[in-house]
Amino acid sequence: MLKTRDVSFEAGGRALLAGVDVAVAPGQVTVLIGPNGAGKTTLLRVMAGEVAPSCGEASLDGETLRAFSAAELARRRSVVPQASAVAFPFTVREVVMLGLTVPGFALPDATAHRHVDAALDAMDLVPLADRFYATLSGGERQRVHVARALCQLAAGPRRQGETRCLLLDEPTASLDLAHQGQVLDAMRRQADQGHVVLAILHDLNLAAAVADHLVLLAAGRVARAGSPNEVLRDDVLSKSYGCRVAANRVPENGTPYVLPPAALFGGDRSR
Amino acid sequence: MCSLRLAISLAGALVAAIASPVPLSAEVTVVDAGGRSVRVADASRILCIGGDVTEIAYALGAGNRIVAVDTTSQYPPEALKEKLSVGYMRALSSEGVISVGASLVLASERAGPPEVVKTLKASSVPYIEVPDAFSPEGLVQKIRLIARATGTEAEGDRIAQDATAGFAALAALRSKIAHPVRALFVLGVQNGRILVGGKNTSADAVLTLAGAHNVAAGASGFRPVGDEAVVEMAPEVIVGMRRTSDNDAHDLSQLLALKGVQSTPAGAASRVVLMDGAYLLGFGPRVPSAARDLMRALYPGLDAAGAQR
Amino acid sequence: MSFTAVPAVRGSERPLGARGLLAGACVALALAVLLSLSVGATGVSLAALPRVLSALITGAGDPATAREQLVLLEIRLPRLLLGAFVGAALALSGAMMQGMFRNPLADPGLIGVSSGAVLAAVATIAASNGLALPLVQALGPYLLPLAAFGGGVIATVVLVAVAARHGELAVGTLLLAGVALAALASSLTGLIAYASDDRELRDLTLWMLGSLSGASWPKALALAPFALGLALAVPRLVRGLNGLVLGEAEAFHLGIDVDRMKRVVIVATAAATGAAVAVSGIVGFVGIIVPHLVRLLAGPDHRVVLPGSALLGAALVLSADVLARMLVRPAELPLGVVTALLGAPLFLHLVRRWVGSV
Repeated sequence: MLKTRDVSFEAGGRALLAGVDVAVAPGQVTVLIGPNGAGKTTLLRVMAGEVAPSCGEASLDGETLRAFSAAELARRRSVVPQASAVAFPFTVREVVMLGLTVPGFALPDATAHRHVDAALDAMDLVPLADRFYATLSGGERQRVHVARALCQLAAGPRRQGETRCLLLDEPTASLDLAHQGQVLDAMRRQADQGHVVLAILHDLNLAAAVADHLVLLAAGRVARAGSPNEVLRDDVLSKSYGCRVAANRVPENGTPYVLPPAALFGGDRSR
Repeated sequence: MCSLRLAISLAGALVAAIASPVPLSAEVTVVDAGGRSVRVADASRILCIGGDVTEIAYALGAGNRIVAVDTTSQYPPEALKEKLSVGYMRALSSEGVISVGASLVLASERAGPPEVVKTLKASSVPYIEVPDAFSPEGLVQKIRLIARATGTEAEGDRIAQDATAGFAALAALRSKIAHPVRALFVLGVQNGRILVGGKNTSADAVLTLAGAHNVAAGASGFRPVGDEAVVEMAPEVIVGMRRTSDNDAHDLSQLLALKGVQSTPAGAASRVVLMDGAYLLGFGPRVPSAARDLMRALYPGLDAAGAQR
Repeated sequence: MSFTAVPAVRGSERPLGARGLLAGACVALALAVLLSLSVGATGVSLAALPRVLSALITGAGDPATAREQLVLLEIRLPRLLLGAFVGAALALSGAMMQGMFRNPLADPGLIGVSSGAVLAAVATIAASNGLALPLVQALGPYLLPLAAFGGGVIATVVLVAVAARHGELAVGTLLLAGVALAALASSLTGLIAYASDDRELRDLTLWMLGSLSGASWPKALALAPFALGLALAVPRLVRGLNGLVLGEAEAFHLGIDVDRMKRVVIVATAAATGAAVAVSGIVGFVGIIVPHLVRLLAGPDHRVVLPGSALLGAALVLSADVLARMLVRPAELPLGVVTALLGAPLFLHLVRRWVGSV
């Protein structure tokens, strides 16, 4: 269980997070949503152990994150960043292999390549494996980072009772429909393996499709947390996003979907 | 100076007395500028490092025994033309110097880098340090040291005596000078600033020998000075180096084109004396005559009449 | 802004793999070592080595063997050791700096080591007839190397002190502070040079062009702890520098203690470059070009770049030194000049051959 207890975070005189209590359970996909500037990335960074909260604490399996060393954390959780530059001309395969540079990962070559191959396969990167990262499109690069994080997670030495976490910051931002689906599938599979999966998604419909648990963050506080049906409601969303929003349900299975406000309230486009 | 001569003579006599009946004319022991006692068995292949050292060696008649020189050995001209060059004297190469195969190394104290000098002193080839001195006594010391090491002591005595006589004559002439002329030695022009000869240089020594007052004596070594400093020094005559043998006019105009120089009495009167660099600065056996020539140029009436015009 | 030179499109189009490069670099170094020992102005060859060694052991020997011993063991061997260290140290420093700043154009001078060393050396040369005279007499040929090393270390310490905030070293701040410090050192150097006389200036210039002619056993032995320290510290940086490629945040996520790694890099670079500059003056070009060459040939994985740079750097400097000693014998060319003359065209050729569209 990865959780925060009453976390606040201040920077530059501003409170980016205030009194945030979030519990992310293993075995399910948890998605963090909210308007721009709500503090989603900051919260993710706190839960990744990258920054320490100004008050409150973040903990993994009951132990505060501050007590972990960078290497110990890296053995149990991996992070997919929002954007990442690669400084030198590495190939895609080599970038994914960087997921194995965690101190303490002493893998024989064959095992290492197995993990890398699996990760490349999961993200449909095998045809691109030999290409230079710098020659890829934005979406392709993003998939490389997801693959790297999956590789890191898979390769960590396992111990009894330890929860593993996959944290993702806008992993689908530049992806086309097919590849978005792939990333969501990968998240689902990780959850099925009993890991903690926490992703920031800006697209509410994707969130509705994949999330078991939604946390809506607005202005540094948790506005609502629960199942998609509980969170994706007109009143809740309109308040947090500051505009009129209508949430509907897919007739066949009741999955919520949200159309952009302009589509609902912007005039007749049915010509 | 006298005690050094005595020491050298005694050492030589001692060695001669003790050693075997094999002819000893080839083996001498010399105390060099660093105080080291160096045994010279074979002076048939000489390496000279330092312009003055080379000049003295040639003057002593040992020129045909020289196998290599350094790049500062500008006089006589055949030195650099005919002999191997070991490069600049402060940037020597240990193996390079050894490869020359000299049986005797005569090197100015200024030779470097220090590690190379150390290695060379440790090799089996005798390495004699020649003092770097800009005085009449220093010159005589150099001549006698090199003469002894190369086995040309008779010639050395002769040249040393000539030099001493030359210096004495200069001193006599100097005593007749009522007002020493204010002179400035210019080594060259660098980025619009002139390089002047301060104290502790051969230029300063020569100017003094010629009876001039070195206005740059406040500085040490050859150093660049700016326009204002030149004006303040207010030389009455500028002594410069002739670069190419026939292009005096060009050198002159270059010097006089500088603002600072123009504002000096020397510049205003276009009073510039150009002389050959190696001749003037080498501080070898030609120094007395170089100083004499300079004196003639500075004090035109002095020689003949006796009193300064 | 990215400075990644992208050589064509596929990784398999890299000229060499990791093994290929390391093997090739070892061969290159072995050849350079052999060349360094067997080639010289005196023409003494390695064939004389057995003779020399037996004379050394038995204590007997004639003047010819003594000369060979001097050349092989007192001149060429220490020079070989110094040259190999200088090449390896400078190339490694370059690779570490480029890894830490995540920029292939970074060079060891960025943390102020070279400027500090130059300033100290210049001050020493300028004061050698005056203030420093008693030191000159006491330390002799070791004064200049000690001063240069000290100057480099002091410059780095000042830099880190200025750039550190709450114990953290931001790379951007380091860079800016380094630039400012280098400018300061450079202007002070200029001031001293201005106040120097002709002879001091000449000595200064020669020192700054770099040379291994001052090689000696005491210097070689003095470098041993540095070589050992580097050999121990550098392999541990491989993981960290690889992780850092993705950025500092990502490196943390990969479990790397970024701040500690930066400190190790700075100390290692300051020590390595300081020691190298101290014994050989300024030998430029090696720190920037050799790691770049390795990346161009075999990819940017630091498991190859670090050892590969060390081996190739040593080979380059040793080869350049052979040329420096032989081209104008019995005189000698400055080493820094030859490394650039040798390496730059080679690098240009490689850039042309292997770099496609950027």
